Amino acid sequence: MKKKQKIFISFFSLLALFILISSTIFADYTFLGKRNSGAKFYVWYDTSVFNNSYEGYFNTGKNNWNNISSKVGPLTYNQNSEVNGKKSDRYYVGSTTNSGVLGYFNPMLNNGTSVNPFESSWDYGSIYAYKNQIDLYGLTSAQITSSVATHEVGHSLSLSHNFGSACNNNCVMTANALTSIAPNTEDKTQLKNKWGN
Amino acid sequence: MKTQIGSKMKYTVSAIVLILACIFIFFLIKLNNQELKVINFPASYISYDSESDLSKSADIIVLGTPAEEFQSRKHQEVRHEDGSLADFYTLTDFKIEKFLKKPEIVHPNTINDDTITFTEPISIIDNNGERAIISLDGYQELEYGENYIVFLKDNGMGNYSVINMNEGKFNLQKDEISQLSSHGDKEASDRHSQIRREVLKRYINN
Repeated sequence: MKKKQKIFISFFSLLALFILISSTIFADYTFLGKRNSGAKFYVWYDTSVFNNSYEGYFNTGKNNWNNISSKVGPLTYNQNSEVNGKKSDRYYVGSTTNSGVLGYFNPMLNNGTSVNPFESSWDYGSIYAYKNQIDLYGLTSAQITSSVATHEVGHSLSLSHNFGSACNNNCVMTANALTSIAPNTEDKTQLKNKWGN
Repeated sequence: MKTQIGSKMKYTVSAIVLILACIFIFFLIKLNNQELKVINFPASYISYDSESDLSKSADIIVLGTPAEEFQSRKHQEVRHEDGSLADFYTLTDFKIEKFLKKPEIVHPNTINDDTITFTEPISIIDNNGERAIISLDGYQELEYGENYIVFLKDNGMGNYSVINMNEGKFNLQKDEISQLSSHGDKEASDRHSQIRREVLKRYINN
Protein backbone atom coordinates (compact mmCIF):
# COMPACT_ATOMS: atom_id res chain seq x y z
CA MET A 1 0.00 0.00 0.00
CA LYS A 2 2.80 2.35 1.00
CA LYS A 3 4.76 1.43 -2.13
CA LYS A 4 1.72 2.15 -4.30
CA GLN A 5 1.28 5.51 -2.59
CA LYS A 6 4.92 6.39 -3.19
CA ILE A 7 4.67 5.51 -6.88
CA PHE A 8 1.45 7.53 -7.14
CA ILE A 9 3.01 10.64 -5.49
CA SER A 10 6.22 10.36 -7.52
CA PHE A 11 4.27 10.08 -10.80
CA PHE A 12 2.19 13.19 -10.11
CA SER A 13 5.18 15.17 -8.83
CA LEU A 14 7.07 14.37 -12.03
CA LEU A 15 4.02 15.27 -14.11
CA ALA A 16 3.65 18.63 -12.30
CA LEU A 17 7.37 19.33 -12.77
CA PHE A 18 7.13 18.48 -16.49
CA ILE A 19 4.13 20.81 -16.96
CA LEU A 20 5.93 23.61 -15.09
CA ILE A 21 9.13 23.26 -17.11
CA SER A 22 7.37 22.94 -20.46
CA SER A 23 5.14 25.96 -19.75
CA THR A 24 8.29 27.99 -19.07
CA ILE A 25 10.24 26.70 -22.06
CA PHE A 26 7.38 26.65 -24.57
CA ALA A 27 5.56 29.80 -23.40
CA ASP A 28 3.51 31.26 -26.22
CA TYR A 29 3.95 35.00 -26.76
CA THR A 30 1.77 35.42 -29.84
CA PHE A 31 -1.69 36.86 -30.45
CA LEU A 32 -4.67 34.60 -30.92
CA GLY A 33 -5.48 36.57 -34.07
CA LYS A 34 -3.39 36.98 -37.22
CA ARG A 35 -3.48 38.61 -40.64
CA ASN A 36 -6.18 36.79 -42.60
CA SER A 37 -4.16 36.65 -45.82
CA GLY A 38 -1.05 35.23 -44.13
CA ALA A 39 2.37 36.70 -43.44
CA LYS A 40 3.51 37.54 -46.96
CA PHE A 41 2.07 40.93 -47.79
CA TYR A 42 2.67 44.40 -49.17
CA VAL A 43 3.38 47.48 -47.09
CA TRP A 44 2.77 51.11 -47.98
CA TYR A 45 4.48 54.20 -46.54
CA ASP A 46 2.61 57.43 -45.89
CA THR A 47 4.36 60.66 -46.97
CA SER A 48 5.06 61.33 -43.25
CA VAL A 49 7.55 58.43 -43.39
CA PHE A 50 9.54 60.07 -46.22
CA ASN A 51 9.16 63.60 -44.83
CA ASN A 52 10.74 62.47 -41.56
CA SER A 53 13.33 60.20 -43.23
CA TYR A 54 11.99 57.09 -41.50
CA GLU A 55 11.92 54.84 -44.59
CA GLY A 56 15.34 53.38 -43.66
CA TYR A 57 14.08 52.37 -40.19
CA PHE A 58 10.95 50.75 -41.59
CA ASN A 59 12.85 49.04 -44.44
CA THR A 60 15.21 47.39 -41.95
CA GLY A 61 12.36 46.79 -39.47
CA LYS A 62 10.31 44.77 -41.96
CA ASN A 63 13.30 43.03 -43.59
CA ASN A 64 14.52 41.88 -40.17
CA TRP A 65 11.66 39.34 -40.14
CA ASN A 66 12.61 37.80 -43.51
CA ASN A 67 14.36 34.41 -43.86
CA ILE A 68 13.20 33.09 -40.48
CA SER A 69 10.14 31.13 -41.54
CA SER A 70 9.25 30.09 -45.09
CA LYS A 71 5.70 31.23 -44.30
CA VAL A 72 6.72 34.77 -43.32
CA GLY A 73 7.81 37.53 -45.68
CA PRO A 74 9.01 39.11 -47.71
CA LEU A 75 7.04 42.18 -46.67
CA THR A 76 7.32 44.16 -49.87
CA TYR A 77 7.07 47.93 -50.15
CA ASN A 78 4.63 49.15 -52.81
CA GLN A 79 3.76 52.76 -53.56
CA ASN A 80 0.08 51.80 -53.80
CA SER A 81 -1.88 51.25 -50.61
CA GLU A 82 -3.83 48.45 -52.30
CA VAL A 83 -2.29 45.73 -54.50
CA ASN A 84 -4.36 43.16 -56.43
CA GLY A 85 -7.48 44.20 -54.50
CA LYS A 86 -5.83 43.59 -51.12
CA LYS A 87 -4.99 46.33 -48.64
CA SER A 88 -1.34 46.75 -47.76
CA ASP A 89 -0.19 47.42 -44.20
CA ARG A 90 0.23 51.17 -43.73
CA TYR A 91 3.19 52.82 -41.97
CA TYR A 92 3.12 56.38 -40.59
CA VAL A 93 5.25 58.78 -38.55
CA GLY A 94 3.31 61.05 -36.18
CA SER A 95 3.18 62.47 -32.68
CA THR A 96 1.35 61.46 -29.52
CA THR A 97 0.20 63.12 -26.31
CA ASN A 98 1.03 59.96 -24.34
CA SER A 99 4.43 60.36 -22.67
CA GLY A 100 6.94 57.66 -23.48
CA VAL A 101 4.84 55.92 -26.15
CA LEU A 102 7.09 55.24 -29.15
CA GLY A 103 4.72 53.49 -31.54
CA TYR A 104 1.65 51.29 -31.85
CA PHE A 105 -0.06 48.78 -34.14
CA ASN A 106 -3.75 49.01 -35.11
CA PRO A 107 -5.18 45.85 -36.74
CA MET A 108 -8.31 46.41 -38.86
CA LEU A 109 -10.90 44.72 -41.00
CA ASN A 110 -11.31 45.80 -44.62
CA ASN A 111 -14.13 48.18 -43.63
CA GLY A 112 -11.79 50.04 -41.25
CA THR A 113 -13.11 48.53 -37.99
CA SER A 114 -10.32 48.07 -35.45
CA VAL A 115 -10.10 44.65 -33.80
CA ASN A 116 -8.42 43.30 -30.69
CA PRO A 117 -5.48 41.15 -31.92
CA PHE A 118 -5.55 39.13 -28.70
CA GLU A 119 -8.97 37.81 -29.73
CA SER A 120 -9.55 38.27 -33.47
CA SER A 121 -7.83 38.16 -36.84
CA TRP A 122 -7.55 41.16 -39.14
CA ASP A 123 -7.27 42.09 -42.84
CA TYR A 124 -4.62 44.81 -42.66
CA GLY A 125 -3.01 47.10 -40.12
CA SER A 126 -1.45 50.49 -39.53
CA ILE A 127 1.77 51.19 -37.67
CA TYR A 128 2.56 54.58 -36.15
CA ALA A 129 6.06 55.62 -35.03
CA TYR A 130 5.83 58.61 -32.67
CA LYS A 131 8.71 60.90 -33.55
CA ASN A 132 8.00 63.51 -30.85
CA GLN A 133 8.52 60.93 -28.06
CA ILE A 134 11.40 59.20 -29.88
CA ASP A 135 13.17 62.58 -30.08
CA LEU A 136 12.20 63.58 -26.52
CA TYR A 137 13.76 60.41 -25.09
CA GLY A 138 16.78 60.63 -27.42
CA LEU A 139 16.58 57.14 -28.94
CA THR A 140 19.57 56.13 -31.04
CA SER A 141 19.16 55.00 -34.68
CA ALA A 142 19.73 51.38 -33.58
CA GLN A 143 17.00 51.69 -30.92
CA ILE A 144 14.51 53.22 -33.39
CA THR A 145 15.18 50.37 -35.81
CA SER A 146 14.86 47.68 -33.13
CA SER A 147 12.45 48.91 -30.43
CA VAL A 148 10.12 50.84 -32.73
CA ALA A 149 10.23 49.64 -36.36
CA THR A 150 11.15 45.94 -35.95
CA HIS A 151 9.06 45.70 -32.75
CA GLU A 152 5.87 47.14 -34.34
CA VAL A 153 6.28 45.04 -37.49
CA GLY A 154 6.62 42.07 -35.12
CA HIS A 155 3.18 42.92 -33.71
CA SER A 156 1.79 43.00 -37.27
CA LEU A 157 3.14 39.42 -37.61
CA SER A 158 1.12 38.37 -34.54
CA LEU A 159 3.90 38.52 -31.97
CA SER A 160 2.83 39.87 -28.58
CA HIS A 161 5.07 41.24 -25.84
CA ASN A 162 7.42 38.65 -24.48
CA PHE A 163 7.69 38.59 -20.66
CA GLY A 164 9.38 35.20 -20.52
CA SER A 165 12.73 34.14 -19.13
CA ALA A 166 13.88 33.07 -22.61
CA CYS A 167 13.60 36.71 -23.66
CA ASN A 168 14.79 38.13 -20.35
CA ASN A 169 14.18 41.74 -21.49
CA ASN A 170 16.68 41.23 -24.29
CA CYS A 171 14.61 40.27 -27.32
CA VAL A 172 12.98 42.59 -29.86
CA MET A 173 9.48 41.84 -28.54
CA THR A 174 10.20 42.73 -24.91
CA ALA A 175 8.03 45.48 -23.46
CA ASN A 176 10.39 46.18 -20.60
CA ALA A 177 13.50 47.60 -22.21
CA LEU A 178 14.90 49.44 -25.19
CA THR A 179 16.85 47.16 -27.51
CA SER A 180 19.31 47.69 -30.37
CA ILE A 181 19.17 44.20 -31.86
CA ALA A 182 17.64 42.28 -34.75
CA PRO A 183 15.23 39.40 -33.88
CA ASN A 184 17.13 36.88 -31.72
CA THR A 185 16.61 33.15 -31.16
CA GLU A 186 13.58 33.69 -28.89
CA ASP A 187 11.91 36.12 -31.33
CA LYS A 188 12.49 33.62 -34.15
CA THR A 189 11.11 30.74 -32.05
CA GLN A 190 7.90 32.68 -31.36
CA LEU A 191 7.54 33.62 -35.05
CA LYS A 192 7.88 29.96 -36.06
CA ASN A 193 5.43 28.93 -33.29
CA LYS A 194 2.87 31.17 -34.92
CA TRP A 195 3.46 30.58 -38.61
CA GLY A 196 5.45 27.36 -38.87
CA ASN A 197 8.95 26.70 -40.19
CA MET B 1 -72.18 60.08 -23.91
CA LYS B 2 -69.81 61.70 -26.43
CA THR B 3 -67.85 63.35 -23.59
CA GLN B 4 -67.47 59.97 -21.81
CA ILE B 5 -66.07 58.32 -25.00
CA GLY B 6 -63.77 61.32 -25.57
CA SER B 7 -62.37 61.16 -22.06
CA LYS B 8 -61.91 57.34 -22.32
CA MET B 9 -59.99 57.89 -25.57
CA LYS B 10 -57.85 60.52 -23.87
CA TYR B 11 -56.99 58.11 -21.02
CA THR B 12 -56.17 55.30 -23.48
CA VAL B 13 -53.94 57.51 -25.65
CA SER B 14 -52.22 58.92 -22.56
CA ALA B 15 -51.63 55.41 -21.22
CA ILE B 16 -50.17 54.25 -24.54
CA VAL B 17 -47.90 57.32 -24.75
CA LEU B 18 -46.78 56.73 -21.15
CA ILE B 19 -46.01 53.05 -21.82
CA LEU B 20 -44.09 53.91 -25.02
CA ALA B 21 -42.12 56.60 -23.16
CA CYS B 22 -41.26 54.10 -20.41
CA ILE B 23 -40.08 51.53 -23.01
CA PHE B 24 -38.01 54.24 -24.76
CA ILE B 25 -36.39 55.38 -21.51
CA PHE B 26 -35.73 51.74 -20.51
CA PHE B 27 -33.87 51.03 -23.76
CA LEU B 28 -32.03 54.35 -23.56
CA ILE B 29 -30.77 53.50 -20.07
CA LYS B 30 -29.88 49.96 -21.18
CA LEU B 31 -27.97 51.28 -24.20
CA ASN B 32 -26.08 53.77 -22.06
CA ASN B 33 -25.07 51.17 -19.50
CA GLN B 34 -24.11 48.58 -22.07
CA GLU B 35 -20.60 47.32 -21.48
CA LEU B 36 -18.38 48.65 -24.22
CA LYS B 37 -16.12 46.36 -26.18
CA VAL B 38 -12.44 46.80 -25.27
CA ILE B 39 -9.81 46.86 -28.01
CA ASN B 40 -6.25 46.54 -26.81
CA PHE B 41 -3.59 47.85 -29.21
CA PRO B 42 -0.01 46.62 -28.70
CA ALA B 43 2.49 49.44 -28.29
CA SER B 44 6.14 50.16 -27.72
CA TYR B 45 6.92 52.49 -24.81
CA ILE B 46 9.61 53.61 -22.39
CA SER B 47 9.39 51.23 -19.46
CA TYR B 48 10.52 51.43 -15.82
CA ASP B 49 11.09 48.34 -13.70
CA SER B 50 11.30 49.80 -10.21
CA GLU B 51 9.83 52.48 -7.97
CA SER B 52 13.16 54.33 -7.88
CA ASP B 53 13.43 54.55 -11.70
CA LEU B 54 9.79 55.58 -11.92
CA SER B 55 10.14 58.25 -9.20
CA LYS B 56 13.31 59.61 -10.79
CA SER B 57 11.75 59.90 -14.26
CA ALA B 58 8.35 61.31 -13.28
CA ASP B 59 7.94 65.09 -13.30
CA ILE B 60 4.89 64.90 -11.04
CA ILE B 61 3.85 62.24 -8.52
CA VAL B 62 0.38 62.86 -7.15
CA LEU B 63 -1.93 61.16 -4.69
CA GLY B 64 -5.67 61.58 -5.19
CA THR B 65 -8.79 60.36 -6.93
CA PRO B 66 -10.51 60.86 -10.34
CA ALA B 67 -13.15 63.63 -10.27
CA GLU B 68 -15.66 61.78 -12.45
CA GLU B 69 -16.68 58.45 -13.95
CA PHE B 70 -14.56 57.25 -16.89
CA GLN B 71 -17.38 57.51 -19.43
CA SER B 72 -18.02 61.16 -18.47
CA ARG B 73 -14.41 62.26 -19.08
CA LYS B 74 -13.15 63.93 -22.27
CA HIS B 75 -12.21 61.21 -24.77
CA GLN B 76 -10.07 62.35 -27.65
CA GLU B 77 -9.05 60.81 -30.96
CA VAL B 78 -6.80 62.34 -33.60
CA ARG B 79 -7.29 61.23 -37.20
CA HIS B 80 -4.72 61.47 -39.99
CA GLU B 81 -5.94 63.09 -43.21
CA ASP B 82 -6.65 59.62 -44.65
CA GLY B 83 -8.76 58.71 -41.60
CA SER B 84 -6.28 56.43 -39.83
CA LEU B 85 -6.16 56.66 -36.04
CA ALA B 86 -3.08 58.80 -35.41
CA ASP B 87 -3.44 59.24 -31.64
CA PHE B 88 -5.94 58.88 -28.79
CA TYR B 89 -6.18 59.68 -25.10
CA THR B 90 -8.52 60.62 -22.27
CA LEU B 91 -8.27 63.91 -20.40
CA THR B 92 -8.74 63.07 -16.73
CA ASP B 93 -9.53 65.56 -13.99
CA PHE B 94 -7.94 64.26 -10.80
CA LYS B 95 -8.64 65.63 -7.30
CA ILE B 96 -5.33 66.25 -5.58
CA GLU B 97 -4.92 65.01 -2.03
CA LYS B 98 -1.17 65.52 -1.96
CA PHE B 99 1.74 66.14 -4.31
CA LEU B 100 4.57 63.69 -3.66
CA LYS B 101 6.75 65.33 -6.32
CA LYS B 102 6.13 68.60 -8.14
CA PRO B 103 8.31 70.84 -10.31
CA GLU B 104 8.74 74.51 -9.43
CA ILE B 105 7.01 75.57 -12.63
CA VAL B 106 3.97 73.61 -13.74
CA HIS B 107 2.33 73.92 -17.16
CA PRO B 108 -0.43 76.53 -17.01
CA ASN B 109 -4.03 75.26 -17.30
CA THR B 110 -3.13 71.83 -15.97
CA ILE B 111 -3.82 72.64 -12.30
CA ASN B 112 -7.01 74.36 -11.17
CA ASP B 113 -7.60 74.75 -7.40
CA ASP B 114 -7.47 71.19 -6.06
CA THR B 115 -7.59 69.44 -9.46
CA ILE B 116 -4.90 68.43 -11.95
CA THR B 117 -5.77 67.48 -15.53
CA PHE B 118 -3.63 64.90 -17.33
CA THR B 119 -3.94 62.34 -20.12
CA GLU B 120 -4.35 58.57 -19.94
CA PRO B 121 -3.47 56.25 -22.90
CA ILE B 122 -7.05 55.06 -23.36
CA SER B 123 -10.16 56.50 -25.04
CA ILE B 124 -13.69 55.82 -26.25
CA ILE B 125 -14.17 56.08 -30.01
CA ASP B 126 -16.74 55.43 -32.69
CA ASN B 127 -15.33 52.20 -34.17
CA ASN B 128 -17.22 52.13 -37.47
CA GLY B 129 -20.63 52.74 -35.92
CA GLU B 130 -20.01 51.00 -32.60
CA ARG B 131 -18.69 52.74 -29.49
CA ALA B 132 -15.60 50.99 -28.15
CA ILE B 133 -12.93 51.48 -25.51
CA ILE B 134 -9.48 51.52 -27.09
CA SER B 135 -6.42 51.15 -24.97
CA LEU B 136 -2.65 51.01 -25.40
CA ASP B 137 -0.95 47.86 -24.16
CA GLY B 138 -3.72 46.82 -21.79
CA TYR B 139 -3.85 50.14 -19.92
CA GLN B 140 -6.87 50.33 -17.60
CA GLU B 141 -8.40 53.67 -16.71
CA LEU B 142 -8.27 55.21 -13.24
CA GLU B 143 -11.49 54.12 -11.56
CA TYR B 144 -13.87 56.68 -10.10
CA GLY B 145 -14.13 56.37 -6.32
CA GLU B 146 -10.67 54.82 -5.95
CA ASN B 147 -7.50 56.45 -4.60
CA TYR B 148 -4.27 56.31 -6.54
CA ILE B 149 -0.65 57.37 -6.65
CA VAL B 150 -0.03 58.46 -10.25
CA PHE B 151 3.33 59.06 -11.99
CA LEU B 152 3.16 61.79 -14.65
CA LYS B 153 5.60 63.19 -17.16
CA ASP B 154 5.62 66.29 -19.35
CA ASN B 155 4.64 65.09 -22.83
CA GLY B 156 6.40 67.98 -24.56
CA MET B 157 3.03 69.29 -25.78
CA GLY B 158 2.04 71.42 -22.78
CA ASN B 159 0.44 68.62 -20.80
CA TYR B 160 1.25 65.76 -18.44
CA SER B 161 0.45 62.11 -19.00
CA VAL B 162 0.64 58.81 -17.14
CA ILE B 163 3.91 56.97 -17.83
CA ASN B 164 4.77 53.25 -17.77
CA MET B 165 1.19 52.14 -18.65
CA ASN B 166 -0.46 50.18 -15.78
CA GLU B 167 2.82 50.35 -13.85
CA GLY B 168 2.53 54.14 -13.66
CA LYS B 169 -0.59 54.28 -11.43
CA PHE B 170 -1.24 52.36 -8.28
CA ASN B 171 -4.51 51.82 -6.48
CA LEU B 172 -4.06 52.35 -2.74
CA GLN B 173 -6.92 50.04 -1.75
CA LYS B 174 -6.37 47.05 -4.00
CA ASP B 175 -3.73 45.42 -6.18
CA GLU B 176 -5.33 45.79 -9.59
CA ILE B 177 -4.45 42.89 -11.85
CA SER B 178 -5.39 43.71 -15.40
CA GLN B 179 -7.91 41.49 -17.12
CA LEU B 180 -6.74 42.65 -20.54
CA SER B 181 -4.83 40.14 -22.60
CA SER B 182 -1.47 41.85 -22.85
CA HIS B 183 -1.21 42.14 -19.11
CA GLY B 184 -2.99 38.89 -18.41
CA ASP B 185 0.45 37.31 -18.25
CA LYS B 186 1.54 36.31 -14.77
CA GLU B 187 4.96 37.95 -15.23
CA ALA B 188 3.29 41.31 -15.97
CA SER B 189 0.94 41.01 -12.98
CA ASP B 190 3.83 40.10 -10.70
CA ARG B 191 5.75 43.11 -11.98
CA HIS B 192 2.80 45.40 -11.18
CA SER B 193 2.48 43.96 -7.66
CA GLN B 194 6.21 44.28 -7.03
CA ILE B 195 6.40 47.96 -8.10
CA ARG B 196 3.16 48.72 -6.19
CA ARG B 197 4.67 47.28 -2.98
CA GLU B 198 7.76 49.48 -3.46
CA VAL B 199 5.62 52.57 -4.15
CA LEU B 200 3.40 52.03 -1.08
CA LYS B 201 6.45 51.36 1.09
CA ARG B 202 8.11 54.62 0.03
CA TYR B 203 5.13 56.97 -0.07
CA ILE B 204 2.47 55.55 2.26
CA ASN B 205 3.92 53.16 4.85
CA ASN B 206 7.18 54.92 5.67
